[in-house]
Amino acid sequence: METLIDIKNLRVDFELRSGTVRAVRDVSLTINKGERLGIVGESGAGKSVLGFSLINLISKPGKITNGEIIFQGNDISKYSYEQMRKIRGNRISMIFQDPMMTLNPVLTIGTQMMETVLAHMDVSKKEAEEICLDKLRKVYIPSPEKRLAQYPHEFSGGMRQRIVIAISLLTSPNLIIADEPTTALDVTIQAEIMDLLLELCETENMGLILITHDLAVVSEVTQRIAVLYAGKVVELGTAEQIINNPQHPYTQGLIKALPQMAGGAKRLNQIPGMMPSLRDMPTGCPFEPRCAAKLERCKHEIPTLKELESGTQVACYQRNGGDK
Amino acid sequence: MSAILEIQDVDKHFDISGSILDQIRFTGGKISRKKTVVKAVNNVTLDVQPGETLSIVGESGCGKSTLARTVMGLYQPNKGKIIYRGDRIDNLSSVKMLPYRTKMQMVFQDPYASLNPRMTVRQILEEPVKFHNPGLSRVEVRDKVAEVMLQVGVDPVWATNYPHEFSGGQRQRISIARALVVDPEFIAADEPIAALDVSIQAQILNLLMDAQEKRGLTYLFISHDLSVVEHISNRVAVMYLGCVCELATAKELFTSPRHPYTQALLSAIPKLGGNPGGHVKLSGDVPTPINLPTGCVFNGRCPHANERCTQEIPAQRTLESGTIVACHGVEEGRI
Amino acid sequence: MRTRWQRFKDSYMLHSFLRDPVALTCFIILSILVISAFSAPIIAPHDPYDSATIEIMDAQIAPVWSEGGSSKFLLGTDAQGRDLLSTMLYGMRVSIIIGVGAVCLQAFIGIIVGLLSGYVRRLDNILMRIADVQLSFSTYMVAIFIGAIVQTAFGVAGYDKVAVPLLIVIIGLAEWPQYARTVRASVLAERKKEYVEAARVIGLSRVRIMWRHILPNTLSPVLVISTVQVANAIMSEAALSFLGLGMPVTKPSLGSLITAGFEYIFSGSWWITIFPGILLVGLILVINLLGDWVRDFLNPKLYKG
Repeated sequence: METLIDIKNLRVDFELRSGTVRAVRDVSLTINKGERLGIVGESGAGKSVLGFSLINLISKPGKITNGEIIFQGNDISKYSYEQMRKIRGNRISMIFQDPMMTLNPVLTIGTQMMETVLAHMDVSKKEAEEICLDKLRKVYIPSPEKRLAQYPHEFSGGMRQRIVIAISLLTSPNLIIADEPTTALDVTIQAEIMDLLLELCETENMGLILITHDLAVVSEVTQRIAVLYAGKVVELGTAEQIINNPQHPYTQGLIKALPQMAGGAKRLNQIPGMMPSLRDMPTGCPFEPRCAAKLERCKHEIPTLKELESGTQVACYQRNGGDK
Repeated sequence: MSAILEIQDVDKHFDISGSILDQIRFTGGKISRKKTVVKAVNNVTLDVQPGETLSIVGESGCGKSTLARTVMGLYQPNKGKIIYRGDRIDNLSSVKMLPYRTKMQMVFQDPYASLNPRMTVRQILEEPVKFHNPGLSRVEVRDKVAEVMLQVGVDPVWATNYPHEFSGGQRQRISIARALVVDPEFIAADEPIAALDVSIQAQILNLLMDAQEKRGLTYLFISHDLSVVEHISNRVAVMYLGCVCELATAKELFTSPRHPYTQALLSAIPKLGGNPGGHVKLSGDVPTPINLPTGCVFNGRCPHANERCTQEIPAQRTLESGTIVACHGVEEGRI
Repeated sequence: MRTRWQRFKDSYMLHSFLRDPVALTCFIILSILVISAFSAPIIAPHDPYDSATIEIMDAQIAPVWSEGGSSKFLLGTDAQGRDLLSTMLYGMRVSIIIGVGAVCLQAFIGIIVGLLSGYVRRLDNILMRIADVQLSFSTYMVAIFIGAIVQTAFGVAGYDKVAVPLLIVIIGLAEWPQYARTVRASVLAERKKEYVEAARVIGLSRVRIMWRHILPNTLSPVLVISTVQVANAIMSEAALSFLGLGMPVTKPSLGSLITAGFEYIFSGSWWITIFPGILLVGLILVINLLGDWVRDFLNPKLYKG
């Protein structure tokens, strides 16, 4: 499998009034061509920051302070603004959560789509229009010719998200980063959008990074899952293994806390406590204060990802995954 | 067993036409007045039995939140009655409504907007107690507040803190404490865990269920999250565009849904470890509650709609299993 | 459990205030100005209102450091022989009283109207139309009109006595719609929030909800515009006095001092206009800068982070 993007020891810090906060701690991931990876975590875990940092959308006071992002042989984390412009929206596209915020309400869909095409591709206006219509058809928007002259508020939420997906497809990117693309949509529309994304990844041979808090969605759509906690990847493996055989105590807790896993008992299994605020991280493993399986060393040392025989990588001393 | 709450044939419409200047339209050479009405709740009839958890599920725009607020007296229904333990409450003046305010309480969705940012937790929790029990001494009020704070899992030491100093989950606990501090019998919970993280949701749900058991509460639980609803409900009502499509026990609804909308909804839920695809595809978009379709509100998207569905609003019928469904197709035996 | 004072000392607001050099400097300057203005009876070398001490022979003496100056009158004297420094101090006191008084009146009317307008839908239309009508009256027109009536009714001597309250009323009535609109916008936003619904579910009365729940949450924007409004009120009073519609010559404010000195500026007695002018500009500048700090600090986007 050909590697599409290789993230090595990525670190993102925020210089706030009250001090430096580390949102992403030494994250290493690889995504292969055409592969679908899910990044799962709760709010405050750093998953959106991770997604944004891949295409250097982090603005002050945030900064990538360490690590490399190797894309097509180059470290794009060190790219200048001009160099990054050629990648963003072109080779790597991003879909955000709220389609009403992504689409400019005062411009027609046509204008917004043509703008993207003409910015990255050296084609005539007529050709650009053809590309736009083609992509609108790919996302199953009926009568695309009429749609180009319409404004975003004339569409429903689901349609808008499809248009956003169409825009991200315009330049036939290698990778799409989708940050909670269906959280703001109803369940029935969510199902359609996820089916659509899946189909497009297969037909267009694109990689997908799906960032979400919804374990059920990632289990249906992605092939591999990375579980993020307090800025660190605590578990990384195939979707099947993570869901059916989770290794890290946090992942286990997360899955057991779902109502469908209560197994007939009235009370749900809850994880005590809360995710620590990024401002006061405990020394040692960030999950240690809430962990039922903790060892003495968990208080003082931070475990790193180590691979088990099953192929899953876990960052946990209990599972023999950490450094000795 | 008589119901604790009866919702009889309730309508709630919002007239958003605006002032006379907004309404005037000039079309085809004639001046006319255009009225825009949001028909949020249409002909809803439900009852809630004492001690049960009745959940109302549906997607955005289905009117479930409006229905909950109408039940709690925040809105007046345009038609129909709300009856609490045999007394009609929808037409009461605010003074006459006061005794019911201790019996019926509400928990809201947004933990950040449901607590007054300028009041300390103590003030927020003491206010309902002092308002309804003016005879209590300061110490008694303080004790009651401390007691309820312990019950919801918030240390009474933090009573002098302001809401912004707490996390989302803790704020929701405080909201629940505010509802419990007047010792209610009935609580309407409008998406109480939707805004919380998954690991916190379990904590809050357990808290709600413990409170129900300890105090013998009745819940009207509004949610869009079907897996949560399956876990905690006795009965479930499914709403679409202001109408109740199906009302059944939780078990019955999730194993054999009868209404086509319920079937589509259930198939759309992502399943843990499930395979993609296989969702029932609904055609078209969700229509707005402003221009309701004639006949059955679901007829535009229903895969089984026929001529009758576009003309006649289906009535609620009880099936042998006890499920109540409003669907011509089910009645005719087509589905 | 922390007391209010402890909470204030620990607060982020105090912390960032002390670290912002502009805000701190402005606060210190403003404090000096206000304290000296209000202790004018104690610290001013002369009493400009006591006509017995004023001699016309002392008129237009230059400041102490220029030729012809006298150490008796540090900043010189004006056309009537009054010590400029003392007159400026008393004048600043008058300006500040009118500025703050007018803003209090504006805020009082504006907050009540804004609250009622935002919360009681039936009153909204009529109250906002009244506000619109109020805005269409120019402050100066109202001042001329009312000033003329009062002067005729009370005579010049009587006018002196009522000048300060009169100006407070005129400027207060001119700008209350600003507050009303701001408060109304806040009320409309807060009304939809769930804590208001929760208060209704508890059974609290409308008045109680408006006063206890909504009002405290609408005060941030009120605070922000208040600092600017004080500066504006002081300037309005200065403008009115400059035009002769404000404070009388016997009890001058900074604005009327500027007017009084204007005709002498080309005949050489520049200090009569310039010093009060500098003081006025300085006063308004520090108030505005402090207001900027308050506005930036209370900006939700910044403090949520």
